[in-house]
Amino acid sequence: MNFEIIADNLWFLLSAALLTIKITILSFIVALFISFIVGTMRCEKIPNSVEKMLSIYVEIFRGTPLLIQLFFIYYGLPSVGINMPGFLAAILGLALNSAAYMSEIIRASINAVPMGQKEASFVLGYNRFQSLLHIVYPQAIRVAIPPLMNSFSSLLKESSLVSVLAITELTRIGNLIYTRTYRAFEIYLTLGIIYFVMTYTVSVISKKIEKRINKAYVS
Amino acid sequence: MGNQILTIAGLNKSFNGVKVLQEINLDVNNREIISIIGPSGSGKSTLLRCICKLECIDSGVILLNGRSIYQKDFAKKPGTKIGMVFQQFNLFPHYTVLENIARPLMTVRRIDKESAIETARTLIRKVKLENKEASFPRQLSGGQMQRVAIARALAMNPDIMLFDEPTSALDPELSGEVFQTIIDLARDGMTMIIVTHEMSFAEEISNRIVFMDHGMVIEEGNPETIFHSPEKERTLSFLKRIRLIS
Repeated sequence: MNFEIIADNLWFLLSAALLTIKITILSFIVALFISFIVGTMRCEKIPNSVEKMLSIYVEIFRGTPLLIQLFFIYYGLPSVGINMPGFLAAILGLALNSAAYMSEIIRASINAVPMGQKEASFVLGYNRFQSLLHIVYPQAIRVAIPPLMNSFSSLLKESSLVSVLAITELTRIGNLIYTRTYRAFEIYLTLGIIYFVMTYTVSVISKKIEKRINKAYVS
Repeated sequence: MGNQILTIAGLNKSFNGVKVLQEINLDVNNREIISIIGPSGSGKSTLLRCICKLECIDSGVILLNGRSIYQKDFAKKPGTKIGMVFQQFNLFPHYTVLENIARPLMTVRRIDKESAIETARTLIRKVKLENKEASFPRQLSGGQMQRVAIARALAMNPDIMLFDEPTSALDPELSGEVFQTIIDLARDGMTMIIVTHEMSFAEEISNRIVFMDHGMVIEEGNPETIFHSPEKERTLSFLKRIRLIS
């Protein structure tokens, strides 16, 4: 056992962890944006062809490994003239992948809002957009927050895969230290601990948020 | 005939090929109170839902103040407002009582916050819930919720109010307070169509009773005639059946 290596590289590891957090938050925001659009559209009356396209998107990104999606975006797309830096490819890959799952969460949450709510708003004269914004979303988000926090945790862990795109996030840095020192036990144990601390923090925050929402709803 | 506010003529409606409304004709005069009675599945609620455009119709016309409700920009013209009260209240759970009434005014009518709240407070007084304006719907009894729903519909200043079994989700005691609110509205001269199973209430409040069965208007007339000497056999047997039960 030689944890001195960890102490020597601690600053290195922590700044890499910060990048992991950045990547996670950025791709989560993009994923949230995509999933709201896709999830909402799939609840509304839209042309069959559009619905088909959206469902193909969801099925493909849920049905193939994230690693393959990242490889395809970063190494595959340049063959058809689409080049992007590794960081952008990482964000895009993570976001598109998470959004496929998250759009289903949004869809289910919107469908969980009773039909009567939409009917009441319609009769009062709300148009579709106003009804979504003022009546449906506020109620759907309450249902969606716990599973979305779950998605955030998954995203945080899955972000380790973008190390294959030469992005110096936590896993990549861990690998680099390993190839220099060959202290696998200490390094990967430390990586695991750092990831765990991060996801555990998310789950604590998420429980607090849930409690707060439920307090507001169950007086 | 200038008195006529709602005209329904030759209305047909089917769900997946099953006819739920057949050749409905109904005229409603200003300040008139009509109760629609009939067995479950007779199409009463569907008729109300067609009037407020929650269901589309197969054929026929529905005119409110002489304008087809399917006309483009119908809702933007004056005299075309329909208020609807649902069996399940459908209050917005994330809004307080005050917000349930004021927010639609702000969102739909673009009325500024102060006047919207003022209007809402007036209506809250009208349905006698002054001390509940900051409560959320879940903190109210069913009867209180339904009174808020009535106030919310009234806030939009409707030309006609539709009630879809407003007390069917309530116990008799709570039904009483909702009935009282509707009676107060009647005194104010509101035109109303009420779908109900409460026969004594219908008899007391209505100018006219419409009996429906199998998607058709079987008989209509004043409460006295319908409830005590109906002409049609089906009306009589329906009334006999429900009186036997209750």
